[in-house]
Amino acid sequence: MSIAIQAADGSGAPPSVRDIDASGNQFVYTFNRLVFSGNYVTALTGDSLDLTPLAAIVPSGYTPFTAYVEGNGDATSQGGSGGYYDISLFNGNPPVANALTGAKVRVWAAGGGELASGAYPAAVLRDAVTLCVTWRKFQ
Amino acid sequence: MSVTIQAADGSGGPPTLRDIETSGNEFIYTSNKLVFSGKYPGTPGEVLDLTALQALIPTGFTPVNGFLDGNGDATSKGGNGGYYTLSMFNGNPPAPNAINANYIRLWVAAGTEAGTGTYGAEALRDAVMLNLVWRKFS
Repeated sequence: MSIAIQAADGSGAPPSVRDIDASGNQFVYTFNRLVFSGNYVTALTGDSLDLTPLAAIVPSGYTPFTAYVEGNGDATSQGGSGGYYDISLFNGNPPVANALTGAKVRVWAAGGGELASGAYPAAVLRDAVTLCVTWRKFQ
Repeated sequence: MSVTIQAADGSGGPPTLRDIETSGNEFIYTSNKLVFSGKYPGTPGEVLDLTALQALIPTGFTPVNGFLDGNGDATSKGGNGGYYTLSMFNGNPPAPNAINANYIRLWVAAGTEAGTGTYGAEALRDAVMLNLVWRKFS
């Protein structure tokens, strides 16, 4: 199980300040490509996503407010075939923020069936998946 | 088969600079209303030509990412649990499609693709917004 956070434009480079829109007066927005590898395990309620590299280049250093993961791949990809991704940043009731290392991404097929445990299928590997995160700009 | 990109506010006008947020330091954001007409062709989806939008973006790049959302009433596709997917990349690793060869697929709430044929009222009455992120600089 592994998800790599890369530059927004799919170059394969690591995230940089070119992937951050910090022009807002209260929030900072980051856009990054996600690349999956290894195995997906349903019992772990999703693949782990470590946001530490992104947080390191966001001035406030806070945990994110909100995020979404969107697939823009072709018709045989997970997103293009009606599937979708869910990102978990909080836990408990009331919800409290996970550690930066404790975000989770779950993968779903059209109709809401979760991706089965095992090696990531071609539908996920060929998808163009973007992670869009909103952060506080100042403490 | 046809989908038209219009101004964000649903006036029916073509996309203009008023539909582009360029204040960001790295990215440009566009929001535009989509209007469907004719027949849905099925897989791989309705062709979406972004040429007119790209002409308004200084870099001339293809989009970084995007999403579609239907904000219509309870009898619209979005309002009753259906959704739209946007394909702008192809292959593995994903490469950007040509700017005039992006695709929109339509889904019902249970995750079944809409049938081919004339667009249903639920799509025609929906308020569908195309939200794209573009690179600001080369």
